Amino acid sequence: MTDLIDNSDVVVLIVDNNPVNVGIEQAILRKAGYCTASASDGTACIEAARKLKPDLILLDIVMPKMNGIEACKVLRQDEETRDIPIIFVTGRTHAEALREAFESGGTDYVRKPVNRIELLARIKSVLSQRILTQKLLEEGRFKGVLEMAGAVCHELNQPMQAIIGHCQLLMMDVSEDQPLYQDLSEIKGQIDRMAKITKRLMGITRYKTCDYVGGGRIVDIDEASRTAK
Amino acid sequence: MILTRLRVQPNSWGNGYVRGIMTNKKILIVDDEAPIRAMFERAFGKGGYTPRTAASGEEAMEILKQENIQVMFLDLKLPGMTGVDLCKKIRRDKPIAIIYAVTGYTSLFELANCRDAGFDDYFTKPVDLELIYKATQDAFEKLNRWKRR
Repeated sequence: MTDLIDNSDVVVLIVDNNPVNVGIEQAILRKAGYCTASASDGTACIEAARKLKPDLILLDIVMPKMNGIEACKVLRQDEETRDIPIIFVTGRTHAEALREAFESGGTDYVRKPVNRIELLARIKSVLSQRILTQKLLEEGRFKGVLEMAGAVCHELNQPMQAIIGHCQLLMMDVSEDQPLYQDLSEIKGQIDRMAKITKRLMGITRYKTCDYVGGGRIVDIDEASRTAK
Repeated sequence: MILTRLRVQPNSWGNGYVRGIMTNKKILIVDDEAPIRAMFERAFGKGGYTPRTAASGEEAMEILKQENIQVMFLDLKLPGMTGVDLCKKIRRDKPIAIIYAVTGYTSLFELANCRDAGFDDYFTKPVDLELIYKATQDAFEKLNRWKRR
């Protein structure tokens, strides 16, 4: 699990109206290598979350302007922020308060005053779960892409079969020294090339992308088919 | 290079011709795509064979009821009865027939199914005509060996 996370890449947004609490949490997290940002109420939290897209939010509940529960609900409704894990940092740990916190969309909670070991363990656990969930989603998407690629290859192989066959039939009737024979030979060569691409595509089980013109990225078919099982 | 050999020696395409006389070597092609059926029909005709075509498994069974055909090329993805099911059905009546699968998409699952269904071999589309001619020639030679026993 530890290998999944590089703390220096992780941005944690700390939200608390008490600067002392912010300072304590910031010190713990920075010592553990995390990058931090802070906000002092629910409204500022939403603004910062939209702007920074943090990997995790530590959210106090009792705050002026907008409390943590309301802020959490707003974040969960926003497409840009709804997947950010939220750990409530609260002194209200009775069952009813926790139920309300989880129902608003909280991922986990830690008690105030925060304990360094507990806080770091909760953060690591939540981040690992998030990474695993993202990997599962990606695998699911990739499986779908592969199935679609298989179907597309099948559909392309059908007309290629007709073209290559007719091309060969014509070549049988034409003398090799005629320009037409050379043209047909060129067509056949290109269809063979397409057939090789579809065969390689159908053998892909995992993929890597590479840079493409215009700043885009495409699947590297050569690399992917080399690593295919 | 392969095609040169096929072009200059048409009589060696598939042994369908014997001294310029067409022999009665029938081949059944089952594929739901008309352009592919038309292409194979022409190719086998050109090779001296007598091709019969069907667009579905049901149509193929009808042809087989009427005619004695021992060499077949079946597409696996057919409407209704699949190529695998069709092969199983044919095998019940024709244990020594040579049945080839021709498929546009070969997964490991399909291959295992092909073997169980009784296919003699399989080809992945697009398949070279030279390979098809060779397979056809081998098929008739094999059938002849069985007949001599």
